[in-house]
Amino acid sequence: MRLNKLPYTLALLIGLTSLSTSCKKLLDVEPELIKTSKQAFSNDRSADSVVVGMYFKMANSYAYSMEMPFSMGFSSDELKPGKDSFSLGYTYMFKNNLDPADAMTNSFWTESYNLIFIANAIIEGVAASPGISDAGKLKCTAEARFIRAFAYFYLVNLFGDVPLVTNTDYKKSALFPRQSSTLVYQQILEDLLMAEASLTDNYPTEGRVRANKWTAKAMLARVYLYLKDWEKAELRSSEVIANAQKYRLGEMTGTNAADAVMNIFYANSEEAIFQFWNNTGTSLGYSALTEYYNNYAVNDDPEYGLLAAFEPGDKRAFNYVMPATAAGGESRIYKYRLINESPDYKEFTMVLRLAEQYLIRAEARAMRDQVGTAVEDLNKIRNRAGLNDLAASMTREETLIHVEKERRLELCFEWGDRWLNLKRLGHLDQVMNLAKPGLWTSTAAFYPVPRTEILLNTNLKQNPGYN
Amino acid sequence: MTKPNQTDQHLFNFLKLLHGANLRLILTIACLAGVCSSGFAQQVTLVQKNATLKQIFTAIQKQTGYDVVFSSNDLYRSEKINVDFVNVGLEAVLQQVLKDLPLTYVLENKTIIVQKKKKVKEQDKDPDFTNNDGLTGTIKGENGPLSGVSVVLKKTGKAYRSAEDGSFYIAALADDEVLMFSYIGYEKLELRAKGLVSPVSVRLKQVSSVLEEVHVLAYGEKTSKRNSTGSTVGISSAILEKSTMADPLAALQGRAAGVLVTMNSGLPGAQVKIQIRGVNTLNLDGRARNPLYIVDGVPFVSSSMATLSNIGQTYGSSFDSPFKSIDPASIANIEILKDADATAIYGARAANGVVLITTKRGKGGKLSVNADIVHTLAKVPNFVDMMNTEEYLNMRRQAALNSGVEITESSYPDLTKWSQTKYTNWQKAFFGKTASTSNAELNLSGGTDQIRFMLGGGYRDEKTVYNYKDGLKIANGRLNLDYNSKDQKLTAAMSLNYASDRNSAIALDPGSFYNLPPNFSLYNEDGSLNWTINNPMAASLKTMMTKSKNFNSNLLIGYKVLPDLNIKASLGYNDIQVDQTMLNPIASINPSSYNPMGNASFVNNENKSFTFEPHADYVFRTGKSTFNALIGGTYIDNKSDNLLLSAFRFDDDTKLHDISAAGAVDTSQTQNQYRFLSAFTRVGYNYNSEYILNFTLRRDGSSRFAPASRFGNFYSIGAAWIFTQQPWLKDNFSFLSFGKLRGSYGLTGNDNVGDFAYYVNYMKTYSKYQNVGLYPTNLFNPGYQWEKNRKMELALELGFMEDQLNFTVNYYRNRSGNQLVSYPLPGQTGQSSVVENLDALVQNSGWEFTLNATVLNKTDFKWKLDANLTFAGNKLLEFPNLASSSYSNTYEIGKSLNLQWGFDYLGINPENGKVMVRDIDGNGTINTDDFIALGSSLPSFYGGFNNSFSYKRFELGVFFSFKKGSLGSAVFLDPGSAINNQPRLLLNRWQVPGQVTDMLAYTTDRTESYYFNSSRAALYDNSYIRLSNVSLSYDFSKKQAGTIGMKNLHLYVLANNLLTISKYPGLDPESGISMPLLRTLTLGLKTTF
Repeated sequence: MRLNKLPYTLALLIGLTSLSTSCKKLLDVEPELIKTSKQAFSNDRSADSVVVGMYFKMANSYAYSMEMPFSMGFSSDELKPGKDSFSLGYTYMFKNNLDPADAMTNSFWTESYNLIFIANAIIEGVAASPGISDAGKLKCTAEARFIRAFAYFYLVNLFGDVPLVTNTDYKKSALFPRQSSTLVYQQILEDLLMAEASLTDNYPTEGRVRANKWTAKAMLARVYLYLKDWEKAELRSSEVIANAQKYRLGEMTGTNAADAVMNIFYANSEEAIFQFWNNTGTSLGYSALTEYYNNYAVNDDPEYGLLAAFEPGDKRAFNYVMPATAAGGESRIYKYRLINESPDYKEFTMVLRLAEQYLIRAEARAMRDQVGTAVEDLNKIRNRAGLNDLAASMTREETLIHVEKERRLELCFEWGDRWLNLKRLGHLDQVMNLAKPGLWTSTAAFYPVPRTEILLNTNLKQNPGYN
Repeated sequence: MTKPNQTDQHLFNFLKLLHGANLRLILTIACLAGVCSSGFAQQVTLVQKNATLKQIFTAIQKQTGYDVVFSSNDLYRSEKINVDFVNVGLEAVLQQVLKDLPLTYVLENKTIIVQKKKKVKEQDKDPDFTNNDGLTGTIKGENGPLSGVSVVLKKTGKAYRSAEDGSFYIAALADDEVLMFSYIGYEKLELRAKGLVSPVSVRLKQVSSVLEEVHVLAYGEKTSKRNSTGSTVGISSAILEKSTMADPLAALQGRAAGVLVTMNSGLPGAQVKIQIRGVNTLNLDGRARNPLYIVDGVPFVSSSMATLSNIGQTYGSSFDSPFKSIDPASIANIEILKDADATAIYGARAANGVVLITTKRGKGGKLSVNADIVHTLAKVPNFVDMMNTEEYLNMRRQAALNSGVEITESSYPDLTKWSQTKYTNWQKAFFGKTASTSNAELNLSGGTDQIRFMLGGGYRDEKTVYNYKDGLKIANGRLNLDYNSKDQKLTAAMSLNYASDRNSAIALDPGSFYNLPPNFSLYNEDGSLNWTINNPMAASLKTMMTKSKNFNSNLLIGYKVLPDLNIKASLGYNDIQVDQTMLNPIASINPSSYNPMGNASFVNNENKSFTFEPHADYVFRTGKSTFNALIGGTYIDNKSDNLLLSAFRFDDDTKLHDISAAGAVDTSQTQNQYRFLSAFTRVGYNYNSEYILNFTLRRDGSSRFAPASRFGNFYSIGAAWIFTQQPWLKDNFSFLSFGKLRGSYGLTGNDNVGDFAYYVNYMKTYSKYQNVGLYPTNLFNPGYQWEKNRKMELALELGFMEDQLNFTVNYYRNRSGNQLVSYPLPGQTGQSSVVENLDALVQNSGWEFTLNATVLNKTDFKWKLDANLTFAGNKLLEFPNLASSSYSNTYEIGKSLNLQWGFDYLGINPENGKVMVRDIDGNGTINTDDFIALGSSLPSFYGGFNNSFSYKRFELGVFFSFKKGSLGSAVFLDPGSAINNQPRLLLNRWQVPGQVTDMLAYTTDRTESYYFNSSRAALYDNSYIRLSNVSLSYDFSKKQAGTIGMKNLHLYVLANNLLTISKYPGLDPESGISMPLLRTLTLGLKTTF
C-alpha cells in the first residue's frame, strides 16, 4: 500500500479530533432575546425592566387585577351572584363554602407567591450584579420589597399563617411550613420601612403607577392600623395627608347617575397614591363592566346589603354603584366606567388612595381618644359625598362605628376592604350571621390553603374547617 | 519510496489498520487458517523499482499459488512500475499495480485474469477484445451500472463479480452453461450461455420479494430485510400514491406494525399524528412525543409552526402540517425505524423512533417527461344524528318543566320567539358540500452516465366541504442532481426542494355549530346576523390565512478512497417560514358585547436549520465474512424566530390590515437556538448471511442541557441468525425457505425539553406597564439530563415456499426512565414546577405481526396479501410520590399513560332520573377528587390488511385498517339547559319513576350533565374497521401508449374511506366531532413521454 492515502486519513483524524475538542464551545449557545439572569441584571436599565415586569405581573394577575376584590366582595356582604351568573365559583364564594381542591381563591396563593418570587429574584439579582449602580440597587430593592410586603399583607389576611419565603432557592423553600402571622407581619414591616427609607419623594416614572416614599408610608399606615399600633398609623397617614402638593381628595361632580363623572378613579388623579397602569383590559374596571357583567350584582339585601347602608343623599349611592334601573335589573360596580376608550385609558385600577388615609387616621385618632379630630377626618369624606357633618360630640364608640361604616361605603369593591375590616375588628361572625343566616361558619374567615399545596408540601397544614 | 524502518513500520501498520487494510489482512489470515485451509498465503511481499508486470505477476503467482492469465501481451512486457509491498493482501496488490493502467482483473477460483478495461457503452466496443472464447458484458440496474453483482456459472460453480462500472468478464464459457446473476435488492436472473455474444448487456430488475427489498438505514446505509438485524418498515411510493391527503404521512395508517397513525382532522392541511411503539415520555408536550423525522438526510421540523390556531377549532391542535410541503409524489420511500438496532445511530433524538423520508432521484438516460394528474372529490361521510325540531323543542320544554324553570321570552327565545316548525340540518348546511382537489405533477428526468437529474414541480388546489372560503393551495418545485466521476470515485448528490402554500380553509370547526338549534335562523328579518346565540356565520366574516414557505436542501459529496472505503460529507439546510394573518372585523363580533371593536393578529415564524455530517464507511469481504464499519459525526444548528403582533381596537373594518390604525398593539417575540454535536460509529459483521452482528455507539451533546450535563452515550447491539442456512434444515424442511431469529438491545434518548430551559429565562411582558418589562419564568436547575429509553426486541422472521409467504413476529419492550418532567413544586416556591429528571419509568411493550404473501402467482393473475397486526400497551412502572404530584390526575402506577379520567358511573337512578356517580373519598361532595381512571385512549390492538389482485394489466387493491378497544368521548350531552340541539341518543332519557335507562333525564341542572359527561357514561368505544382504500388501475402496454405518443400510460381510480364500521356516535371515531376524514373518489393518470 502506498502512503498517498495518508493525507485523507490524517485529515479525517484531525477533523474528528478538532470536532471533539471544540464540542464544548460549539454547544455554548447564549440566548439573544430571552434574557438570562446575568443579562437581566447587567445594568440599571435592564434591572429596571425587571421591576417593570414585576408591576406588570401584579397588575395582570387574576388575583391582583380583579379576582381578589371580586371574591372578597362575595365573601362579605358587598356582592352576590347575578341572576344570569354562570360562575359556580362565585356562588361558592358567596356561600362561604370553598373547596380546597378548586376554590377560586387558590390562585391568590400561587400568584402572590409568584410575585414574591419575582421580588426575591430582583433583590438577589441586583445584589449579585457588578454592573448596577448603588442608587439603582437601592431603588430596585426598595420597590421589590414594597411589592413583596404588599403580597404578604394579602396572603396573611386571606389565609392566616403562611410560609415566609425570602429567596429563590426552591430546594429549601419547597418544604417551608406555615409561619406565624406575627413573623410575617414583622417581615412586612421590615420591607416597608426599608422602602420608606430608600424610595424617593417622586414616583420613579410618570404618573402614580410605581412605588415612591409616600406609597410606602400609606401602606405602612394601613399595616400599623391592622397591627393596632395607632400612634404609628396616625403618624404615617398624617404625613401622607400633609403632603397636599401631591395628594388631594378628588371632587365628586355630577348629581345623578346619568351625567356623573367620577374623577377619583382617573389615571393619575390627585387622590391616587398608587394605581395600576393598564392598557390590556384585564382590570377590575373592565371586568366589572364587560365580561363579568352578568356574574355579579351588588348585594341589595334590604336590611344587610351594601345598598341599604347608604344614607339618603349620599352621592356615592349612584357614583360608586350603577343603579339597577340603569343596569338591566341588578346593581353593578360603577367606580370605573370609561373602559376601552381608545387610544388611552383614562381610568387606572386604584390600589391606594388618600380617602383611606383619612379613614385610617380617623380610626387611629378615635382609638387614641381624639374623637374631635377623628370626626374632622370623617367629615372630609362625608362632605365630599354630599353628606352633612357628624357631630364632634360623639363618643369614641359611636365614632368607631361611623369609621367602619364610612370605610364600607367609601372603599366598597376596593381590595376587599369590607371583608378584611370585619375580620380585623372581630365583627365578622356577628355581621355574617345576619347577612347570610344558615350559610355562615366562623372557619370561613380564612380561605383554605389550596389542596395541591398541601399535597406537594407535607409540612403545610390546612386551615380549620377545610378537609 | 524506501522501505520503512522498524518504528515507521509500526506507524505504517497502524495507519493501515485505520484504513481497515490491516484488519482485513488479519482476518484474511484467520480465515485462511481456520476456514479456507489453503496451502498458500493470500499476501504478497515485493519491493522492486521498475519492475515489469511480468516480474510482478510471476512473484504473485509464486507467493499465492494463483494462476495468472494475461490478455494483453504488449503491456505485460513493456509496462514498468515501482512496487513496495510488505505483507499486503492480494487484491490490494492487484488494485495498486493496475491502478494507473488500462487494465482490470477478475479473481476466478484461484486464477487471476487480467484484461483490458471495458467501456460500458456498446458503441465503444474494443475491437481488440474478441480474441477468446470468454464473455464480456455489463450489468445495469434501474439506476445505472451495478458493481459487485455476483455472477455464478451454474454447472461449474465458478463465481465472478462485476467491476465498478458494471462490467464483468468470464474467461471460459461452455455453450451449455447457465449464468446466474444475483444482487441485493434485485431479482435473480439466469441466462443460457448459448447464443450470447460479447458484450452482453444485462439488466437486473428490482425485486418484489419482501426479503430482498432494500431498506434504507441511517446515513445512506442500506440493507435487505433478509440481512437486517433491526426492526424497520418501508413504505413504498406505490402506497403513498394511494392517499389523497396533503400530508404524505397519512398514507402510513394501518400499513406498518407498531406504528399508530391517528388523523385528528379531515381539514385541508391537517397534521397526522404518528406514534411509533407508544408514548415513552410523561412530558405532555407533543414535540417530546414525536418521532425524529429526517428528509433526505436533513432533520425536519415535525410539529406545526403556526402560532394562531384555527378560529372555532375545538379539537385537534395541529392543523397546519409542515409535511404538506413534501409532495407525496416526490417521495421514493418512507422508512420507519423502530428498535434500538435501527435507531441508536440517532442516539439522543431517537427515543420515539425515526422516520426517514427519501425523495425520488433522476435515473439518467434519455430525457423522459413524467406527468401525474389527479382529481379528487371529497365529502363528509357521516353526520351526527341530531334531534329534529319537534324533539328539540320538546326537550327544552320538558327540561324547564322538570327543573321548575319558568319559560320566558328572554331565556327561551327558541320556545317563544322563533318559528316552531322551521328545520335546518346545520351539519349538511355547513359542510355538506362536495369538495374537489386537483393535483398535477410534472417532472423531467434524464442525464448522462455521469450526471443524472430530476426536475419536478407540482401544484395542488384543495377545496373544502364548507360553503365558503378558499382552501389550501400548494406549489412546489424540486431539483435533484446526481454526479459521479468517470472512475466512480467522486460522487455528489444534491437535492433542492421548495414549497409554498397558502391555507385559508380552516375558518371553522364543526364542533362549534353542529349543535345549533334546528329552528334557529342565521339572519334576522332585516338581514343582519342573528346574535341571540353565538352565530357561526360570524366566523365566515373572519380571515385566517396561513402561508408557509419551505426550502429544503441537501448536498452529499462522497469520495471512494479505496474500493470499499467511502468518505462522505452531507450538508443540509432547511428554512421554513410560516406567516399568519387573522382578522376579526367588527362585523363578526356580537354587537351587544361592550364596545365591540375589530382586532387582528399577525405572525411571522421562521425556523432555520443547518446540518453537517461527515462520515466514512468501509466494507471488507473475505471468504464468507463481510465486515462493514461506519464512523461519523453530526453538527446541527437550529434557530427559530417567532414574532406575534396583536393589534386591537380597530374602529373600521377596512383598516384591519393596517397595524398603524390599531388602537393598541402588543408584540411578542421569541428566539430559540439549538445546537447538537455528536460522533457515532456502527460496526457490522456478516458471516455467510448466516450470522449477523451489529454494534452502534454514539456520543451526543445537546445545548439544551447545562454544560456539566451536556453529553450522553447511546448504544445498541443487534444480532441475527438465519437458521435456514443450516444444511439439515434445508434438507428436512424444504418448505421453510427462510428463517431468521434476531434480537436487539440498546439505549436511546430524548432531549426535547425546549431550548435554553436550564437558564432562568426572563420573558418580555406581552404588553406594557408604561414600558415593556421582563420577568423570570422559571426556577434555576442546571442539573437535568436526557430521558433514557432502553429498547429491547426479539423477532422471528419466516419465509415459506420460496419466500412466497413471509411472516414476521416481533416482541418489543421499551423502558423509558430518567423522565424529564415538569416536576411539580408547591406554589410557595414561586413556580408550579421545575424541569427535572424523575425516577419514573414508563414501559411500552407489544407484539407485532406482519404477513406478506403471494397467494397466487400465475402469468396473468396475481394475488398478494399484506397484513399487519399490533398488540401494544404501555404502563407506568414507577413514579415516586405520584399522589402528591400534579400528575396525580393524569397517571396511575401500573396503568397506561393514556388514561381517561372521570367519575365512576353508577347509572341513572330509576327513581328520580338523576345521574349516580361514586363519591370515592366519601366526603359527601362530588368533585374532581372523585375521579378515577376509566380506561385508556390507547387501542389494545390495531393494524391493517391489503389485498392486491392483478389481472393482465389491471390491478385492484383493497385495503382495510382497524383499531380496537380505546375510549373516546363523543359529544357533550346537555339535555336542555342551553339553546343547543342534541344527538338523538338522548331520546332514550329517563322519564318516569321505575324506568331503567342509560340516558339522564331532561334537565336544566348543569351538575347533572357535568356528572354524566365526566363519567364513563359519556365515553364510547371508538374501535373501528375502515375500508380505507380501494384502488383500480390499468397499465397500458408500451404499444398502446405508443399509439398516442406516450411511453407509458397508467390510469387509476381510488376510493378512500369508503366505509367505517364503528359504534362511535360522533362524526368519526378518530376525529370526534371535529372535521372527520373525508370520503374521497379520485381519478388519476400517470404518463411518461
